Amino acid sequence: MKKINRRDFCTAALGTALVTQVSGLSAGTPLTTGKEDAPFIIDTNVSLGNWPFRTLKYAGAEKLGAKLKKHRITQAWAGHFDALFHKNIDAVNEALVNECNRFEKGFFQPFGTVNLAWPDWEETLRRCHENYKMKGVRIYPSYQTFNLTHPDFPRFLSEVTRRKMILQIVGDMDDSRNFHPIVNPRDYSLAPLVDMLQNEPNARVHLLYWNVRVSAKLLDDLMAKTRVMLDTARIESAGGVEALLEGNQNQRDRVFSFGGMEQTISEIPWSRAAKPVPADRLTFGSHAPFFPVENNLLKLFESELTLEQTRAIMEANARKLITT
Amino acid sequence: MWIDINAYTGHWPYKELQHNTLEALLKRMDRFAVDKSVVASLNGIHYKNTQTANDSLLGEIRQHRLSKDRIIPFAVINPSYPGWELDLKKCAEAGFRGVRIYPQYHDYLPEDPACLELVKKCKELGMIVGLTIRMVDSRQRSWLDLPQVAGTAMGEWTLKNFMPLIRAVPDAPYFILNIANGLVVDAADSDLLKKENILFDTSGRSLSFMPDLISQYGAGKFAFGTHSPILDYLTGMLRIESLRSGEASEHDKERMRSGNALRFLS
Repeated sequence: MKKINRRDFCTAALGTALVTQVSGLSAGTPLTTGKEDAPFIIDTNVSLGNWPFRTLKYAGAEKLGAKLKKHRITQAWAGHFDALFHKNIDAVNEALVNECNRFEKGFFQPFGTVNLAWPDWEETLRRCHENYKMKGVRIYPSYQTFNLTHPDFPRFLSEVTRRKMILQIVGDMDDSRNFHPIVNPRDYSLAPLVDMLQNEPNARVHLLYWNVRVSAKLLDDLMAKTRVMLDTARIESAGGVEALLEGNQNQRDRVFSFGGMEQTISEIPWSRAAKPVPADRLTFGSHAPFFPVENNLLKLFESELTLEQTRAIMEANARKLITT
Repeated sequence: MWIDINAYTGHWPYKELQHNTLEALLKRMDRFAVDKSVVASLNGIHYKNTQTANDSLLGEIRQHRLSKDRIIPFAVINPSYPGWELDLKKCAEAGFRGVRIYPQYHDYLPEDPACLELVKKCKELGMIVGLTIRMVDSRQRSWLDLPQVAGTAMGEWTLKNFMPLIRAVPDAPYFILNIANGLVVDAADSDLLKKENILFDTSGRSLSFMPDLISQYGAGKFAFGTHSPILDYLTGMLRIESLRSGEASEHDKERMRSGNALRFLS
């Protein structure tokens, strides 16, 4: 497949305005490409509400929605920061829907939450689906005090699948170096998904900010044995998306200094997979307003991707996930 | 006249609060005939850089025409955070009348040198230091909140935990707020607490037996406080209003409604 460089792509498909916008990282002016068929973006990882540990510039639906729209994002899948901390989860889910509705209709898709550590999660899930018409739910095991080994998790996964909802599992919200001294999210493993999802082949599981919790071996297994999707929010390093798609066969024995130790890339927790990750398994996720949305936009252009790969990550994969 | 010396606006991470905006607070003040409130930002308690919360509070006060002269801002300062001295200076210049500190949430001890330095600087600047014994009852705490739980080996903090600070800087002006888990201290500390530069607010559950406390400390030691919007708005008020004539004179009640607070704030 012919590769095009980011400048050609931007010029051909997105127009000069976006070239200026992306390279300048300026959202000061609304996007006007003049090309009706120019691609747009579905952001599969944003959050509404307040982050308790610092003021976020674009907190809330109105500010965040306006910001995302300036970057050609036409739909955003939104969780709520309160979902991590509150006990009354249904009130959070209702508040999320109300907050989503404060911006243009349909722009924010609410992804409520379900906490298996609390009683009656079945009713919470039912309300998310039937009352609030949510397309999916987002869980935060490290904050919500359950692991994927929770006895109810297989039933939860099955029920989400039966309802044809997407299950977003958040690996982390923040880098552990930034944690507040009194608030310590728990460690947990995503590894049980490999076996569980073989029993639920139709489950639509989407991992957000997954990188720290997924080793190269686990990533290989998730790609080979499940249909798990991944977001781009925490893919690091120059050419990170490209490296993920190409795999690192040529680098697997390269020794890096990590955590004061010499390690090969396959031993580093958030390393790239030893095997290529198919482009149809990645979705654009900004983790805005926690991360600057420009950060993830730039990833699309600083990696050398084909036009098809870029379109898939920007929009097509997410569209398929939410509509099939 | 009523002055509430312990109110907040802002967000508490672990539950949805009502009446937590400045506008909502002013409505409540109007409804319950409270003339002035000492207000700090709840947001600052969980921020590392507390100054953004102080700036937001000040911005909110300046934007709200009805808050003029009725809201007395206190800054949340974290002396373990670099640059706190500059934050304090800015706050003093901006008109903050005092500082509230949260050693447990900001991960230091009241007797840590940086905290002592902060309190000494507050004293120099004529700013009151607000010591909050607890924010929420640990029995209802979120699993992500402070690890101290009442009735366990690692119990909640009490007044005793703040005494090393008061002993080290005994002549700074202090508000001691939302007192829970008792007022029991040793005799020397009890004498220290009786000094005129320390005021207790009436919001905490350890002040349920006001007549006894007035006998022990005198009516000049207490001032109306709500700890709202985390606690209900009226308990601190009822603790004063429900005192019988034999327990507190009308003059004493008026001191607790506002007179004692004015002594510190004016």
